[in-house]
Amino acid sequence: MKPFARLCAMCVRLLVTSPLWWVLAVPVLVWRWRHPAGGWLWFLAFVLAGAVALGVTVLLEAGGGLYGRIHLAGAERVFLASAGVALLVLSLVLFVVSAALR
Amino acid sequence: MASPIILEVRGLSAPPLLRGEFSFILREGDRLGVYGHSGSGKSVLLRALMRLMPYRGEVVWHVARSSVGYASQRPRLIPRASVLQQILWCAQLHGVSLSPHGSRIHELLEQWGLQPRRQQAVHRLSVGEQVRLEMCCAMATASRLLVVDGLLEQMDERTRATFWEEVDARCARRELAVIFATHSAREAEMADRVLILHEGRPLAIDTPDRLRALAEEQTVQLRSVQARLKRGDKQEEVQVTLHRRPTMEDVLHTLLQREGLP
Repeated sequence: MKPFARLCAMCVRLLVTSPLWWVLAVPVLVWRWRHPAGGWLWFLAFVLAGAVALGVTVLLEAGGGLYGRIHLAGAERVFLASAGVALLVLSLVLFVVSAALR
Repeated sequence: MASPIILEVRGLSAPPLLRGEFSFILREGDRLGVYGHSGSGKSVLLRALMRLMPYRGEVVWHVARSSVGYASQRPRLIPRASVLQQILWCAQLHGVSLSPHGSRIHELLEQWGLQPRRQQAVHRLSVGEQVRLEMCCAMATASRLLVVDGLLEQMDERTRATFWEEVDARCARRELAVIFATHSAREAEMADRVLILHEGRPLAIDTPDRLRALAEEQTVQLRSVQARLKRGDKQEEVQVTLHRRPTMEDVLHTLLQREGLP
């Protein structure tokens, strides 16, 4: 369980230090504040923003270096699982923050 | 008794870059050097071995892939991560337990001269430091096999000495096997066996001594040594002939001549 938690922490850190994630997540936060649309739709938007940012980090940053390392270590499944958990946790945090702001 | 097999390669090729068929076995504690000129297919061979590109033939791993450390010719580092994070992330992906405050991480940082830079972002490191970090990550994750693709030439003498010290000690204890690609004849001779390739084809694979036996002893004549005689202003030309051991470059030339290749 500990290695999985460490990988989750790695994904969270990759996301919160990603400029792209902030570029995508902040507008979603602002729109959610201004438009009172369905709550779960916004949650999905946060998840999508995170997924795009993490995908770009893994596949494109440093010439796909991180993807190469994941593939090399044979850690595709565990990384996907930990990335999923990290995405849900971060999106939930943003969702709660945006709800509190309204 | 022979050491356990780590990797078996049978009839490996990856056209159009790797046209020949490569077959060899790597055992625990082995150091295999892949030697050839630039563009001969060394990196392609290593990438095919690591299953990072499509290939034909058989590559059988007898160890878990997570126990293999790979140092790429172009360091694949996350620019915004710190040096410490980069090493920890690599270790985590390979399932290696490294604590940021543990002795192993400090040992690695000291060994590769990265201790003063541990909190620095990767993009702020010099090229040499990035090379050392790539090697450090590979060393941290290589518990059974280390694959180094052309990074040795990019290291300074001191870092290379550190690398060989660590590799020699771990190979002697049969903890680790190493495959490294190089275009330096001197570096290739550090291996127990050398695989010589040319234009994507294997020319020979053997111990450095046996390969050297294929090439003739080299003689170099120095003609321009001039000595001033004590009396008078006469100058005399002295011829000096040096005999030197054949290098891997000489072996490569001999093999190319035998095969009738340019």
